[in-house]
Amino acid sequence: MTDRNIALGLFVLGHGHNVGSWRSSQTPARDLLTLDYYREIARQAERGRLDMIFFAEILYSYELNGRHEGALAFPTLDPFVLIPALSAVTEAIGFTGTYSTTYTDAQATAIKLATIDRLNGGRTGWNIVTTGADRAAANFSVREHPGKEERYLRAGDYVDRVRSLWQSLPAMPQGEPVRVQAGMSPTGKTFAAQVAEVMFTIAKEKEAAVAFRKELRQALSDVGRDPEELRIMPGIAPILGGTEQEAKANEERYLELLHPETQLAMLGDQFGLDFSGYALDAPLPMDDIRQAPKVLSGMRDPARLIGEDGEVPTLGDYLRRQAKVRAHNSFVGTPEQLADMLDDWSEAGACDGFNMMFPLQSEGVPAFVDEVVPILRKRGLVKQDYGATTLRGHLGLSEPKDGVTR
Amino acid sequence: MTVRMVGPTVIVPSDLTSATLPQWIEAAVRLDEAGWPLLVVGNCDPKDPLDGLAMAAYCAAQTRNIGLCAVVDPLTVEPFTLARGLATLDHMSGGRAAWRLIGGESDANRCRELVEVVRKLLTSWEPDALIEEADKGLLSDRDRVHPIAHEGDYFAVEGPLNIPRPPQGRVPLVALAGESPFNELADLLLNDGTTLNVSLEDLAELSDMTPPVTGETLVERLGGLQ
Repeated sequence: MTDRNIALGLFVLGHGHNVGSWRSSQTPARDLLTLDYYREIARQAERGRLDMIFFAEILYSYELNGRHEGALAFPTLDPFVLIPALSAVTEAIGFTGTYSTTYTDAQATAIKLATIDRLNGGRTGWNIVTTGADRAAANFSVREHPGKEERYLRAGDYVDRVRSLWQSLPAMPQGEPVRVQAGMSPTGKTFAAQVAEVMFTIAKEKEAAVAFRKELRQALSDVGRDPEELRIMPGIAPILGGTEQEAKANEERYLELLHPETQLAMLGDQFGLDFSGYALDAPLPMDDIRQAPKVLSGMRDPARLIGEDGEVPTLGDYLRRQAKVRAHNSFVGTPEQLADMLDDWSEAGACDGFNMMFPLQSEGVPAFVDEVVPILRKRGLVKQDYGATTLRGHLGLSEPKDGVTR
Repeated sequence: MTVRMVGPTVIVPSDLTSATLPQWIEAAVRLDEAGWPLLVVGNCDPKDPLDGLAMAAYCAAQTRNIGLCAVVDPLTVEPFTLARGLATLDHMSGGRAAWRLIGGESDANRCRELVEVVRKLLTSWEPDALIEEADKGLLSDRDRVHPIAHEGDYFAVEGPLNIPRPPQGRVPLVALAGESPFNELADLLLNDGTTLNVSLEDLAELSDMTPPVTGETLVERLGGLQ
């Protein structure tokens, strides 16, 4: 029996990471505005002895031609209000909230995090992000969105100021909140090497993940940090079933949740083009897309729409492909197979843990806690019980000794 | 301490610090059970500041009826961030959120505009805009969610808020008498006689008393004093 303590996070987003998850009949969408909904998930996660729950932050609403897309209007609440409320109704699990360094005041953020870390006895993490959406800028009195280099430069100063302020305040239960970071660009990696204690990453292939972890651990050494002070946790979107056939059937059922209207809205939002007038069985309107208002590189590069075979897919086929392919690693199979996969990645040094992103949380979370965690426990891959009271303790991270490290 | 019972009363902790935090949380539960209408939480003490929204959220999860007023520093917050925080607190607490500005006298015009923009954002979704039409794939009615397109001297905010309208809609801004320049902005203005600055020592006396409170909503429960 090994003793590995694979870190486990649960990324809670709406009713699940399938954008159409709210359409699942058991769970009305307005539940997402109640404490009860999140309390139930948090207690399930705590029952499974997960290390932390992770919340994103979205600072704009999806819009096309001045209308705010009803298909994509699922609410993301303020993580730093949600987390203290959930802290009051849980005992041990940690909570990481995303808060932008681009559009918030460092002093206000420092005070918020320090207060929450005191309220929950040191169970707080801060996902440090720079906000790269121009629609967010429009809600924060900014006409021009700052570029990536500028944002990261600002983020570095921001984190320094937050940590300096913490030094001047009364002590916090875990020294200070855990610093989490999610960028994987070269600038993001440099920032992570200096600042991050947990990295939330995208990793679809084990070998690439092993190389990435090696690179990051080396980068920590290069800036004088102990590589053991970094936990790399790739996102994974598992779909479970009692048998492989059941899991595949669940995958199909989840795809049905994604309404064509939702997918058209997502595609429209991506390019600033209204797709509702195009036929689903005709090829993608590439000429119109190339002239759309938001055509750019990366996610918005029209070349990404064309298949590997060079064929222009129909709008309908493209949407079906999009519904299936996620940015994060996906998994479809039995609890035993998922446990094997987590074991295999961890054994290979591809990661220190995982951030679980269930397409439909009302099914995925209890299935994971009741069927996968017991297998992981039996194999000695995760903790049997919370041995610590703080998030640092759960993750095996030490308390900062020297204050500002950069 | 002599308590003057002149009506629904706001309780403002006078010795709330990080060291007394656990006792004040316990006190919030007792005050709630005793039927007190509003507790003000958070402080802007530069040596030991406590975030009002975080404290109010923590208290909300452990209480049923008491209103929770978050102290807000108006000079370090963006209206979109503040509106998201207030809307979240109001949803989480079932419509028990309030806010109070502390500081900001040095920049009263900015504060006025901050309040204006926060209110526009909190009401940018019409009350019935969350339609949940699963068959059509529509969560909200596009025609009942409105950008605010605010262009002012201090803030330019497109909106709408990306959280549906909170239970109270316009979450009440509370000001205590003498808190110029914010009295004119307040939804609820409370006078000295109804505001108790209370220390932990005084709490034993308070929790035995039942203040005369009626009304369903926070504004109704406190509104008689305007």
